Amino acid sequence: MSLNPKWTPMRWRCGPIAAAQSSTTGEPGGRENAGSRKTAEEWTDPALLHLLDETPINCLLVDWAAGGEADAAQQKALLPLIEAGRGNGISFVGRVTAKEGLFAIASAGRAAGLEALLLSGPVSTPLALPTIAVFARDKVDWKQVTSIFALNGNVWPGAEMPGGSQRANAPDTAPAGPTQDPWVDSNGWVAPLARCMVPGKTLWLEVDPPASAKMSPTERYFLTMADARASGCRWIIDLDEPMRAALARHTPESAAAWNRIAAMSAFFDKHPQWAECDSVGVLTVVSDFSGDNAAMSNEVLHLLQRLHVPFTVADRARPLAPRIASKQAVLWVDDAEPTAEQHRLLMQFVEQGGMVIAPKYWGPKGIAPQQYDWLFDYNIYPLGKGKIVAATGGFTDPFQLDRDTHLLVGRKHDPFRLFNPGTTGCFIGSATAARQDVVQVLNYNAPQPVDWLTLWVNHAASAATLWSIDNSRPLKCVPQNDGTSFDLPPVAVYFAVEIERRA
Amino acid sequence: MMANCSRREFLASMAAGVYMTSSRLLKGQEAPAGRVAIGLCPEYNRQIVEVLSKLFDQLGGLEKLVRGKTVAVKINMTGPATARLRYIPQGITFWSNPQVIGATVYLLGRAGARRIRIVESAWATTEPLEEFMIEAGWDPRAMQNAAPLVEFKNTNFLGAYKTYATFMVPHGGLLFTGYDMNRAYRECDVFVSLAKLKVHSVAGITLSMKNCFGNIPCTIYSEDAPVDEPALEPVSGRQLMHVGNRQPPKSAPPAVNLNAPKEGGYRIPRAVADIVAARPVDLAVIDGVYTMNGTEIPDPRHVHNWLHPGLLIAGSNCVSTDAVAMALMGFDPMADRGTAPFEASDSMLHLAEDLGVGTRDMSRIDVAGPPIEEVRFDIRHPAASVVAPENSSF
Repeated sequence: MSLNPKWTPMRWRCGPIAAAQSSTTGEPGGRENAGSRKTAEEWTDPALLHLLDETPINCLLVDWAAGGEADAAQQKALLPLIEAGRGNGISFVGRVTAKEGLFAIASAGRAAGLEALLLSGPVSTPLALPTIAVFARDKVDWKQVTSIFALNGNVWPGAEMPGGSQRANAPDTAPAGPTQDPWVDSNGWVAPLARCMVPGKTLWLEVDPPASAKMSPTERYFLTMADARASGCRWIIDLDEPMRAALARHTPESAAAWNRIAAMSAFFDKHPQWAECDSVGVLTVVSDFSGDNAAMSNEVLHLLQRLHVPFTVADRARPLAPRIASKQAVLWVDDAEPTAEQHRLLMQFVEQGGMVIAPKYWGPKGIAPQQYDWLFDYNIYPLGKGKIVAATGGFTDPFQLDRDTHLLVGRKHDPFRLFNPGTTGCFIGSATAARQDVVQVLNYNAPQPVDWLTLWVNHAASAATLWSIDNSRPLKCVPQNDGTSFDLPPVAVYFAVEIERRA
Repeated sequence: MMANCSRREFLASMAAGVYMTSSRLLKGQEAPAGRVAIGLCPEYNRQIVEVLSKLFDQLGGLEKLVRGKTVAVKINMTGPATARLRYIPQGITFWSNPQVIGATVYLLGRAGARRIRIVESAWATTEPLEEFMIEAGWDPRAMQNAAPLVEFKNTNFLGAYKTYATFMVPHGGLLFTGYDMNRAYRECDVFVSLAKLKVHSVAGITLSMKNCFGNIPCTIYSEDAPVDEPALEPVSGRQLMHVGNRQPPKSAPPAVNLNAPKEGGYRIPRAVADIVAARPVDLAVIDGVYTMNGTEIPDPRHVHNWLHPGLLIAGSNCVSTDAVAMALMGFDPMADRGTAPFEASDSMLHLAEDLGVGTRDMSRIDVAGPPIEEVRFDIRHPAASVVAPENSSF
C-alpha cells in the first residue's frame, strides 16, 4: 500500500466528527447548528458518491480520529461509505487529529479500507498505513515531509473586498496592500518553494472555504483550484457547508456548481505539462526557508509572485551552482553568511557579471561602496563585471526588498509583462525542449472580470493559443520592437496562453 | 479678526488678496501671444525630424533658444507603466511618443544644446526614469543616443538633490502661492513641454500646459505625503491636488484659500495655470500624430477610440499653443465652464491668460502651417477610429 501521486483529493466532511466541528466552529460564536449536523450525517450516505461519477476526483479525505468520544461512531458511520467508494475505485485517506494511539488508529483504518492517514507532522514509528504529513505552511520541517504532504494555514484566494460597515460608502474599493494595488490573497508562491525544497514530492494544500450562510460563488472555487494547480500543487477540494447541504438535497444550482468544479479539475488534469514547466527569469532567491528565516523568505517569494517577478528558489543547504547557472542575480535573504564554497561560487558569479543582493556585505575587503540616489538603503560594491548590493540596515520590509530587487536586476530582463493587470496574478513557465511558454492568468477579484489585459513576452512568437476551461482558440500575435504582445479577452477567473517561440 | 488664524493661514489669505488685486489689474492688459506652427506628420517615422525641424524654424529657430544651454524636456508618461489601451503602445495613445521625443532631443542637440534632460515624474516610484520606460516597453537608449549629452530624471522625488526648488506663482497664485518641484526644473535654461494631444476626463483637455501638472512631485502633492516634510518616496498619485482633501506638507508654499472648493474642475485648471506661470514653458510641442479619446489614460469604464490626426504642433507660448491645439481638436479655445470641453471644469487657458501667461484668442495668434479648417478633426466624435494593422510595426 503506497501513496499515489495521481490522487485528486477531496475533503469529504461527514459523520459525527464533522457534525461536532460544524456545531462549534461553523458559525460565529460556536452556536448550535442543526442544519450543519444534518448535512454531516447526510454525507455519510454512500449514495452521494454518485457525485464523483465521471470526475477526476479519486481520493476522499474523511475524518477518522479526533481523539474524542466521537471517534468510534465516526469510524462505524464511515464503513458503508468506504466500502461503496472502494468498489468504485475511490481511495480513502483518514484524517487524524488525535495525538495518541496512532498505531491502533492506523490499524483500524487499514482494516476499514483506508489507504493512508493524513497526520499533523511526521510520525517516528511505522504504522499500518502510509502517512501524509500536514504542516503549518510557515513551519514546515522540510526534512520530514512525506512523498505526499499537505500544508495548512493557507488563504482562501481572492482580492479582499470587504463590504459591510467598514466600507459601506465605497463597496467597490479594496484595501491596498503594500503592492499599492488591491491586496490579493494567494498561495501561488508555496508550490515553487516546495518543488525546490523537496523535489519530486507531491504537495496538497488545505484551504478551507470561508464560513458563510450562502454557497460560495463557483468562481471562487475555480480560483482556489487554479491558484494551486497553476503553481504546481493540488488543492484538497473542500466545499462549504451550504453547498454540501444543497448537494445532499439535489438542488439544481448546487448540481450545476458541482459539475463546474469537476470540469475545472478535469481541465487541469488534461494539461499536466503546464505544472511541470521550468521556471523562467533571471533571479534566484536563496534561503533555508526555515526557522527564523521562514517569515521573511516566504514573504519575499509571496510578494515577488504578486509583483509578477519570476524567480527560481534555491535551498541554502543544497548545492548552489545548478540554481544560479544562467541567472543574472541572486537574492541572498538570510542573515547567515554563505559557506566558504558558496562564497567562492558567488564571488565567481559576481566577477562574471552577476549581481548578489544581501542583507549585509560579506564580499572581499577593500572595495569602496557606491550608492544610487534613487535607492536609499543599499551600498553597491563593484566586483569584476558585476556587483554586490548590501542593505545598509539589513532586510526589514519584504515588499520593499522585492521592489528594490526588481529594480536592481532591471526591468529589461523581464521575460513577460502584463499590462492593466489590476487584480490578476500570473504564472509563467517554459518548456524549453518544446520551445513553448505557458502563461496562466488568474483574476483574484472573481467573479468581477478584469478587462483590457495585454500580455507581452520578450521574444518573437510564431503562434499562441488561448485556453479557457470551456474551449481554446488561436490568439493573434502582435510583433513589437522587443517581443510580442497579445490582446487578451476579459478574464473572469482564469485562462492560459500557450506561446510557441519562433525558431 | 485674525485671532484664531495660524501664520500659515494668514500668509495664505494675504497671498489671495494679492492675487485678487493683481488679477483684476491683469484683466486690463493683454496677455502675450506666441507664434504656433502646425505640421502634417502621417506616421511615427523618420519624417518626424523633418516636420519638427520645419516647425521650429517657423518659430524662429531653435539655435538662439538653446545653444550652449541646459534644456529640460518634460515628457508625458502619465499613470502606471502597465496602463495600456489594448496592445497599442502607450506612445501612440496617451503618452508622448518616444520617436517624437527622440527627434526633439536630436534637434535640440543639433541646435547646440549643451545638456538635455528628459524629465518626468514617474508614477509612484523612485526608480530611474529609464527603468520606468523599460517597464513600459520603451528603449531609452534610442533617446540617449539622439544627442551628445542626454540625461533622464525622475522628478517625482528629490533624486540626487538635497532640497526641492520653490517656484512662487507671480501675482500670488490661484490655488497655491507657490509649488515645490525637483530642482531639475530650476537647473535648466530652457524648459520644453512635450505633450500628447488628448482629452482629460475632468479638465477637458490635456496639452502642453496640463503636461506640467506632472512637474510637481508626489512626495509633496499626494495625500500620502507627511504633514511637515516631503516623503522620501512617492507612493500614490496627486489626489490631493484633485480633491483638496488635505494640504501638502507644511514645508511647501501654502494654499491661497484653505476654503477653496474641493472639486477637480476648480482645482486642476488653477493648479495648471499656477504651474505654467511659476515655471514658464519656453517651447511647447504637442504630439498629435496618433492619440485616443475618452479620457487621458485608458479606463475600462470609458469608450476609447484610437485616432490618427497626423499632426505635430509647436509654439513658443504654451497657452497659445494649447489654444491652437484645442481648435484643431474641434473645440473653441475661448470656451469657458459649461461649454465643451469644459463641461465640468474651468478653462485652464482662461485662467492662465488672466495670469498673463499667454493669450488663447485665436485672432491674436500667428499660426503657421496648413489652415486650421483644413486639418481640424472632432476628437470626441471621430469620423473613424484607427484599426491597428495586422503586422503593426509599432
